[in-house]
Amino acid sequence: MNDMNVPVYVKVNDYREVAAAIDSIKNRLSEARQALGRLKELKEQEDSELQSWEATVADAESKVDEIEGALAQQ
Amino acid sequence: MFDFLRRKRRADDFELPPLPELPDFPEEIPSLKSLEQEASRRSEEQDDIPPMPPPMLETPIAVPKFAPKDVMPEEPARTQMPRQKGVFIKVDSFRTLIADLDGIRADLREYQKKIGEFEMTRKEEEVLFGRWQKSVNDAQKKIISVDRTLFEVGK
Repeated sequence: MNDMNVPVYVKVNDYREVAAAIDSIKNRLSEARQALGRLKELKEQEDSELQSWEATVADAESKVDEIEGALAQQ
Repeated sequence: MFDFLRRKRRADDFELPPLPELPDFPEEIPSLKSLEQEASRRSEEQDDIPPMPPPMLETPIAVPKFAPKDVMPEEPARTQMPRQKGVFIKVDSFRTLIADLDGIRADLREYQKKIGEFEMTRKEEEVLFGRWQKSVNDAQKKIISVDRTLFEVGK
C-alpha cells in the first residue's frame, strides 16, 4: 500500500468553540456588509447633492459676476 | 472411647438383596417403520375426538381496566448534544482552513487600514463641510448686506 494515499487527520480540540467563533465571524461580516451597503447609499446621495450644490454655486457665481459687471459699468 | 471406630464396618459384612426377575422381551425388535405406523394410527385416533363445546358464559365478564395513578411527567427532549471534545479533519482540509483563515486575517487587516484612511477622509470632509457651511453663511450675510445697501441707495 502506498503511504501517500493514506489519509492523515489532524485533531482539532474544542471543535465547538471554533465553530462558535466562525459563526460569530459570519455574523460580524454580515453586519459589516449591511453597514457598507448603507454607507454606499449615503455616499451616492452625497455625490448627487454635491453635484447639485456645484451647479448652484456655479449659478450664484455667474450671477455675482453679472452684478459685478453691472456695478463696474456705473 | 473410640466407639466411632468400631462403627466402621467392612463392605463384606453387608448382604445384598436378591435381584428381581427380568421381564420377558420379544425375541424380535420391532422395526422403525412399524413404530411409525403405530404412531400415525394413534394420531388418527386422536383426530376422531369431537371438538370442545364453546364456553357457556351468558354475559361477558367485564375486565376492570387499570391505569397508573401517578404518571411521571414527561421529560423534555434534550437538545443539548453530548460534549464533543475534538474532531478529526483531513490534513488537506486543515491546510485549506488555515490558508482561508490567513486570507481572512489579511483581508481584515486591509479593511482596518482602509477604515483608518476612510476615517481620515471623513474628518477632512467634516472640516471642508464646515468651511463650506461658513462660506455659504458668510455669502448669505453679504448678499443681505448688499441687498440692504442697494435698497437704501434706491431710497
